[in-house]
Amino acid sequence: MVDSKHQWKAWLYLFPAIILLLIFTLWPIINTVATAFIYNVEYKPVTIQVEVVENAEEEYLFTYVDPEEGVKYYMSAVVEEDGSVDLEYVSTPDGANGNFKYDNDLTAWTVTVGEKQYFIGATDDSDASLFEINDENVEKLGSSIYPASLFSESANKHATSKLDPNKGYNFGIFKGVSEAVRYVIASSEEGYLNTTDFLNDSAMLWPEKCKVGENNGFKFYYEDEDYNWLYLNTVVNDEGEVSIEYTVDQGVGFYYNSTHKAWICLVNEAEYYLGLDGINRIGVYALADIGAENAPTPAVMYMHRGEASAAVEMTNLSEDDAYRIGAHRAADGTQTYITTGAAVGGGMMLTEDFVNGESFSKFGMNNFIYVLTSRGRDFIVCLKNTLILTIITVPISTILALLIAVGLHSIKPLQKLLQTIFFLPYVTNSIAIGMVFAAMFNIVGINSTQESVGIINNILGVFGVERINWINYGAETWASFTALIVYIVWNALPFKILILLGGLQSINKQYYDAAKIDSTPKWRVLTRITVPLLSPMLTYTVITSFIGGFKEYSSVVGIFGEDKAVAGGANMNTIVGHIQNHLTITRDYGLAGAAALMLFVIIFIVTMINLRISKKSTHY
Amino acid sequence: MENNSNSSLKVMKEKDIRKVASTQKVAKVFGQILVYTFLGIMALIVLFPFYFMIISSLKSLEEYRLAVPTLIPQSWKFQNYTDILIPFEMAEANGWVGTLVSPEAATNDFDLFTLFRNTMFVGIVSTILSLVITVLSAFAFARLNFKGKNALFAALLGTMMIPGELFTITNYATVMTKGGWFPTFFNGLGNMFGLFGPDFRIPFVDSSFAALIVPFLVSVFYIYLLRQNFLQIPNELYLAAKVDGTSDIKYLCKVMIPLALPTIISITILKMMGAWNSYMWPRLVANDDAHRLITNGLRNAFNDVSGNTDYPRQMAAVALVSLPLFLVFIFFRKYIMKGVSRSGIKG
Repeated sequence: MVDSKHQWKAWLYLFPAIILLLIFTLWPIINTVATAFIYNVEYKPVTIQVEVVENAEEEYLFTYVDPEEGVKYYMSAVVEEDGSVDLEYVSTPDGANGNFKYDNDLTAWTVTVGEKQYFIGATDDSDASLFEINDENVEKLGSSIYPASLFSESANKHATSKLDPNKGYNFGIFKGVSEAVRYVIASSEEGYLNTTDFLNDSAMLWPEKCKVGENNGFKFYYEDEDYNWLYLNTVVNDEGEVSIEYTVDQGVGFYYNSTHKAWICLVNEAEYYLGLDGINRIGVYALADIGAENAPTPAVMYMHRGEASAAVEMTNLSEDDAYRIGAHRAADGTQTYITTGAAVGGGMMLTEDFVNGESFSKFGMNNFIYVLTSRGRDFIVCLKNTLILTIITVPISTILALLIAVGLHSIKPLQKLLQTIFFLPYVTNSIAIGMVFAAMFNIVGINSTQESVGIINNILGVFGVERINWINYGAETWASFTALIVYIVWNALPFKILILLGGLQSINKQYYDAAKIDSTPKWRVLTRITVPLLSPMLTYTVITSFIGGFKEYSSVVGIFGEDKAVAGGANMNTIVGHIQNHLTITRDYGLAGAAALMLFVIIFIVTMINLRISKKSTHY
Repeated sequence: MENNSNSSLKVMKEKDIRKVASTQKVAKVFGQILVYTFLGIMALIVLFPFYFMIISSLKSLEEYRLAVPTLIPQSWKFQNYTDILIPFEMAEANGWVGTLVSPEAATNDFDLFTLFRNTMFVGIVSTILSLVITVLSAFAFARLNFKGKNALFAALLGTMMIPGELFTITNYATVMTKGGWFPTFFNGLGNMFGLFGPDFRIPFVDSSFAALIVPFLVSVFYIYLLRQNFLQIPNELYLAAKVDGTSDIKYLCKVMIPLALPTIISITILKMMGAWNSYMWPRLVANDDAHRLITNGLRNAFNDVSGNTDYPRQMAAVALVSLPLFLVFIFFRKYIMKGVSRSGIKG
């Protein structure tokens, strides 16, 4: 009965659905799978040092774009046989060639163009540019002209360099090379410290509150993402050395420890270091834990405009990594020009402009490796959390739901009312009721004199249970998980009861009548008749709840808020939350895609196993 | 085995039978008590959070913080609700501050009115558009014959097996990429592509609202559900309508839709509840004051960092957000439970 009129009409009716499905379902699946296999090459810092030990006779090329003039300089770093490195000037705009050489007397990079000699430098109001080497300029060098330095981001060694007490400097707290969040605090001429995001160059929190202090100190405080105030004080002493002090614990000074590569302070004879946890919150952590698994990474405080460093050390460049070489305008630090280099074959480097943030991509499985290792931030933790939650909540909620459904099925009076009550959690907003659970578990005024332990602790107290810190600051992992599990089970019950009760009501009464005649015990009826005949429904609920468990997300947000973590306690994030963090924080769609694909594979495998098991035990 | 019991029954004396019957009766009553106790306790556990929410929302902060909590508020503080329900500017203009509205409401960061308006807009528009698309598609699959129909339908059902996370990522990129086709088109639509000058704006038509609505307009499951429903309507009705020269659309509106109304109501309710409860996607694509939806707004508000969260007022907001869901549940219980048991979709 296919007639031509139906043909076009049907396609016309289906047109909106098909178009939308193509754009928002089919294409995204293909694209997500594809992007999962396209990975961004990780940038690794290249340390700048005077001497090069390895990789003699290799050459690295990078470009340096002068944004003000729009001129692109090509430089190549040549490693000489004796291990020293020369930066060579491969081309200038007018085609002239020259070599950049580090002049130890001048403490600057010099170049010969034509007949004249220049050094690279910058003044307070000009960009990095070439200054002719003459008496006048040399005299200004170090006072009003600053030698441009090539710096790397791991330039911790600059931290205690000589500085001019009357000038502002850049201080940064940043997370490490592959992380997106960096805070740089830079002084401006008005005596205020401006805060800028190093990468995005956008203004950051509370610039008005950062004031350059008196007595040569630069005091700033800043509020981190968790709304914790962080007070830092930088002091420039008479020798021009800088130290950074943590003024919140009065008088505690941070000093840089090169063994641990971290800033360390002493509080009550215990050593602490300044670190950033998995979700970029800064805090002070026990030094004993440094480097341990899941321990916060040391926060790096760095400053530049130190001495112009000499040559470049580049060891063991690998084709799978990218490296960052920086050329930096030394003046007030508000603008940073950095070229990034990615190693390609033969020790050559591709160059990209760091400021514009163009990334460098490759095809391969690396995203999956990244997700499973360090660059995936907390994927393993999230996976573990998700597995724990699923494995614990699915059996509990299924058995409870089964018992309730069987109970409901066996009664006459009040059945409808109880059925409605048990369905009630279904029509709730999981975020909203999560907040109610959070309030129930919450201890108000913890550690203060007037403490209200929260309703759950009150109820447990009736049974003689000591006060438990469930979700407040420093809560133990098991306690936080218990709170979450209680909520998830509560939330999961109604759907299962509904399905199982529906299943029970469709079981033929004759089976029960037969059992009654045989006077079969109740539990036997349950295990021999009800559960086998209910097995298709049970299979359905178990499979859907496994899938739902692996996608657990909003219950975590409901209880623990958008940090998805307990302050000073466990990271409660799940895989879906992890994927979301990749979208909003790291902004790496490749990593997000890889994590989502892995989630899909896990769900697929678990569902297959479920079906396999249930095939053996399901009675149709 | 049946023979065995039969024969043993025969041997039983009447007295024994009576004894067995009475012990069975006792066991049955005892069992029923057990069942009711279990169900009663579970029902209390299920209801407790709601009870806690309501009593807490009516307490003053001082009372909420008592070491031994009160089970019924000592004094009923309805101000927690009016603080949220009445915009502070309005209270100020009418001189209600201090009476109907507390002065602390000035710092209220839960803008119920805007959130409600946004959510209703997104919910209604996406429900209507989604219903139109679903009805047309279901009609095509149920009544019309065309080449590749079965293959296409199978392909559509196949997409249901893919988890949403896999397309969230690319959809996020699509709607958020500055200068991409999606923001360009929908922001352009918002000012009619500059037809009436650059400052012309149609309210509510912009990229952020479109991002909340457009990607989720097609639900294969709803198409499937409605198609099954349409298939139950005898084809003779359609052929008769054709003979009378009735157009497809007229036939759809006059016959098919009324007959499939229960399913359509189920879809409408689930879709509206979806807008009300959705959190993850709105948080990703519309996390600003002008576009935030209610759930996201609730989670964002009352996050007082100094640890002095005003829990009673927070609970009042939670209760207000939960209330419409309960009302819908009371009036449409049948449709919700039917839709849910068939779909397994939460909201």
